[in-house]
Formats: sequence, C-alpha cells, structure tokens
Amino acid sequence: MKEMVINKGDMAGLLTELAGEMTVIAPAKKGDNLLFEPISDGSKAVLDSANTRLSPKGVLFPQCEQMMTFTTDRKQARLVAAENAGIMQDVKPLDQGQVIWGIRPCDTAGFLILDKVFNQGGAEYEDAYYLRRREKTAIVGLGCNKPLSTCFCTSFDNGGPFATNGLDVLLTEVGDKYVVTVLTDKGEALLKGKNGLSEADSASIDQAGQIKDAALKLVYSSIKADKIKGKTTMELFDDPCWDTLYETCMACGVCTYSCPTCHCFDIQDEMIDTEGVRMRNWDSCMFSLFTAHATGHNPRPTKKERFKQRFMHKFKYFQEKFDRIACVGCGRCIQLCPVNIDVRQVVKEMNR
Amino acid sequence: MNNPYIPKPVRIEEIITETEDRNLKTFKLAFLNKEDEQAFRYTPGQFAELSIAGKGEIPIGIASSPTEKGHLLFTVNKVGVVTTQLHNMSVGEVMGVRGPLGKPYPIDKLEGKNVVIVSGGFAFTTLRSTIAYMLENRERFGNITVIYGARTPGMLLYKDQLKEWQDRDDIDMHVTVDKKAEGWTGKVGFVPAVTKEVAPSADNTYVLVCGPPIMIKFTQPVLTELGFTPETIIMSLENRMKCGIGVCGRCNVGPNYVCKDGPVFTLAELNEMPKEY
Repeated sequence: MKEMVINKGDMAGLLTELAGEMTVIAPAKKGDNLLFEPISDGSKAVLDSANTRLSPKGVLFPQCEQMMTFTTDRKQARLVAAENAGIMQDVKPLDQGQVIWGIRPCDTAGFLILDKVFNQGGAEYEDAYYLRRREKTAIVGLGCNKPLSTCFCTSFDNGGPFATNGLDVLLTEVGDKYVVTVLTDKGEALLKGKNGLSEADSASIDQAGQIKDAALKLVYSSIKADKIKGKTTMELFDDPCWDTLYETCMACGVCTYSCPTCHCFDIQDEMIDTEGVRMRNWDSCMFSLFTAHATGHNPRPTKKERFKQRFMHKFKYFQEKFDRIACVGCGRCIQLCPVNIDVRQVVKEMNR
Repeated sequence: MNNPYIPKPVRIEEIITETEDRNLKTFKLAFLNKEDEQAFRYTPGQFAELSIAGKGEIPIGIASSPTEKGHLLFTVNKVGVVTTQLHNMSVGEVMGVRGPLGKPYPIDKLEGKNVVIVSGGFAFTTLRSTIAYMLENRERFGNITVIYGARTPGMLLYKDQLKEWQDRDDIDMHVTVDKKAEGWTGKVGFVPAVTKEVAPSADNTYVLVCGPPIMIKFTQPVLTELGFTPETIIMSLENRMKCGIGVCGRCNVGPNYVCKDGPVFTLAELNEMPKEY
C-alpha cells in the first residue's frame, strides 16, 4: 500500500492527463443531475458533492447495450437472399481501458455483488458483456467524509464510508488535498508518473485516519438482518408483514432503476429493414410484464408479489445463493421513492 | 472469452404438424457447423433457447434424445411472437439454438430403478426425450410405465412413435384421451384416473410428472396414495425466461432459478419453494 497526496487544484489536470490515455468516468453534471459520465476535461469532475443520482452500475452494465448484430432475409415478408442471414454476430468489446473515478465505497460494493451474478462459474455462465468491460476497468474510490441520513453502508457485510474492498485506489479528502491510497497493482500502474502526485506526509495520513473514524460515527442508521438467514424461505414468504408493506408502492420502478445491485434485464431484437441488433435493456421486477407468460398466466400476478420479490431477492434469496446480502446501503431508493418506502423499515419487519 | 448469449446457427430440416388444431409443430434442426453439434451435449430434461433473428428467443424443452444423432427436435406451441414466427418458417431457413440449458432429469438416479412417466398434453416433449433415451439404454433401467393423455386422439403428440412403443414388450404404454372419440380404441379418461387404474408400484420407483397444472393437481394425491414419496416424484417447471443462465432475474421461484437450478425439481424441493410458477 502506497500513500500519496494531490492538491485539489491539481486534480483536474491529472484527470485530463488520464483522459488522454483511457476513458475517464467520473461524477459530472448532466442537466440537473449528478451522474457518472465520461469526461475529457478533468475540471468537469464533481468530487465534493453527495453521491450521484443513479448508481454507476451502468458503466459495466449499461441501461441499453448491443449484444449482437444480424441480417435477416425477410424483407417486407418476402424472402431475399442475404449472406449470413439469421446468424448472430457478437459485438466488438471495448478496445480502450477505462477508469471509474470518484466512486463511493457503497457503489463499489455494488460491483462486487454484480461480479457474483455475472460470473457464476463455468464458461457457460460467464456474462461476456459485463466481464469484458470489468477487466478493462480500474476503480478509484472516494471515501465519504459526510455520510447522509439515508446512508447505512455499515450494515450487512458492507464496510462503511471508507471501505477499500474492490478498489484499486482510495481518495480521502483532507482539507485542500486528497490523500491517495494505492491499493493494487492496477492502481499503481494507473497513477504511475502522473503529474500532481507526491509522497504523502505523515500529518496528512494521520488526518485522513481521523476523518475516517469521524465518518464512521456519522453513519447512524444500522440495520440488522441477522435473523433472516435463520428463517426458511417459506416462513419469510408467508410472513404477514407483506400484507401491508406493499400497499403504498406505485410500482414505478425507481428503486430498481437507481439501485447499484439490481441487475434484471430484458433481451429484445430491434430492426431497421433487414438489419437488426439484439439489445439488452434494464428491466424491473416491479413491472407486471416482467414475469407474464405468453399464455397470459402470471406467477407474480399482483403488486404484492412483485414488491415482495424485490426484498426477498436482496435479503433472502441472494444470501442463500451467494452468502451475502445484495444491498450496499447507498440509500438511493429511500431518497427517490415517491411514496417514502424505506428499505430499512422493510428489513426491520423481515428481521423480526 | 466465450459468449454464452450467442446462438449457434441451425437449419430447419423438417417441420411436422403434430396436432389436429395445427398449433403444435415439431421442428427438426441441424447445426450448420459440426463443432457446434459436437459441443451441444445434452441430457433428457434440458432445454434450449431458440432464436429467430428479429423476433427474439424462446426457451423450449429438447424433445429429441441425445441417442438420436445429427439433429435436435423441438415441439413448439404457437402462442406468442416468436413461436408464431417459427410456425410460419419453412424448411431450409436458418435460425439459432443456444444451450443446452438447465438441470436435466436425474438419469443416474433412475438407473436400476423402475420409472413411471405421467404426462398430459404438450408437456410430453422432454419425456419423449427421456423415453427414447431409456429405450436406447434399456438394460440400465427397470420397468418403464408411461401414462400419457390428451384431450382428443388428434391432440396426441408423436403418434407414430407412440404406436411403435405400444408394440414393444419392454415398455408399458397407457395412452388415453379425455372423451370417447370415433375410431379411438385406446383408453378413455383423465390422466389422474388412469394413473389410479394402472396403479404402478411405488417400490424402487421414480415417477416423472409433467403436464398442465390441473393434471398435476389431481395426479399428485393419486401418487401419494400409491406410496410415492416427495423425493421420488420428479417434476419440471416453466417460467418466463430471457437469459437462460440464471442472471436476468425473472424466472426465479424463491431462491431457485428455473433456468439454471431447474427446470427439473423433486416434489420435496418444490414443497420448500413459493408457488410462483
């Protein structure tokens, strides 16, 4: 582990320099929202604000992406000869490396959860689209000096506002500079010889330690889910708490849309004339068509079953499959829910 | 890196209209590339995603047996966008197959045991695969009893094959239709009633059950009465799917994905799972 410092004033220059070598993705203003966006001008990076509106999961798992391309020989219902008609061609993977700069530790934990989903062992279960991007991506985290009232990143298996799991580099804001902690070889290679970095003085390192300790105390929401593991699936599934919890939900899907660990998707073919693409798009378990069979039968017919699915998946099913809870405590769903459904309250009910 | 989402190209070699309502057709598909055919190693009970460029994909159980080399069989009910397109396609056209996917019937457990197959309607497809496989490896299994029913004689699948099996003396076939029909000399009655009448012994026996929910609902108590335990009753589920590899999140029943952890489950396993199928 190597500690360096950079003055805040030099950060934009460093990012601009990096952007000449690879795609730099950092929190940046897009309209009214702060989102993870590719930047070429380092001064566009916003590192002094609360977390982004949406999680950065889209960097590795885009909301819409091309999976393959094809040509068909059906043109206005007539058959015309076409080479390779009906045969799917894989899209070209990223050829350039990328870095996600300024990601919060909770969102990094989100990627660690997605890693489990998109790589379940064995070539037949490796999600090529996610994994090809993943291996080309370096992750530079930014610790949270001031967690919000909706943050609960110390709950479950998450490490809190300065967790380093999954990071190549951690930035800690200390006065007018950042302490830059290099955690991996990938991080070392990323920053090697970059302008503006110098070796950290012990005063800055001490200060960073104090800030970290202070931040931990600011995360005052602590959610217990310890009893969930001991309950059977059917015990939790049949729990009467579901009879009322779902009632205010409008099934808008903003919780799944903004969540760093929600990963449900749809696959759709789109065509112009005889040229087509097979697309992957985010989907949501909150929507009724998500599970509807072609016959009209729907195994999750009402909002109650769909609401229950989201929480059961994150806090019970995922735990059974992957031995951890699929929630990182970022608090976005609490902030954005139009009817004030609070995941912390739901988990409290499940954990009774 | 291998990309499990890319379907392998196949050509439609033959299309057989199975039923009198013309809603069920069997598609005989052959891989364009020899290496794809060799890589597609499956066991009865598994399924594959059939891909039609411009329309999408559908998960369909494999009706052929791995002992039938050189082609795959899929029997498809015309019900949605992709299946309707498939029904309109012609011999010679190219489409895609992705798989094999899912957990098969536990063939290794069935070895040395008697096997009872109870099925209704067009759920018979992967059981056709199982029967064909067992008959090709006949010495590895005990008695084989098949109870298969459809609404009318014209709605039975694989009619030629059923006849062929009925003529053999190493498989006990009970084919039934719901109501009396002209020219039908076989059994008449619903599958649960016929199961009760045939009364296969539960001793040293596994039963594979696949059919419409209503058939399963009434067959289950009959099987229990005959002495079958939840561990020896094996069923196959279906749910809406996209990825087929346990990622996209829509086919789960409790913690289990029908596509990856199923579609085959024992009744004992299903008893621990929500009824979201």
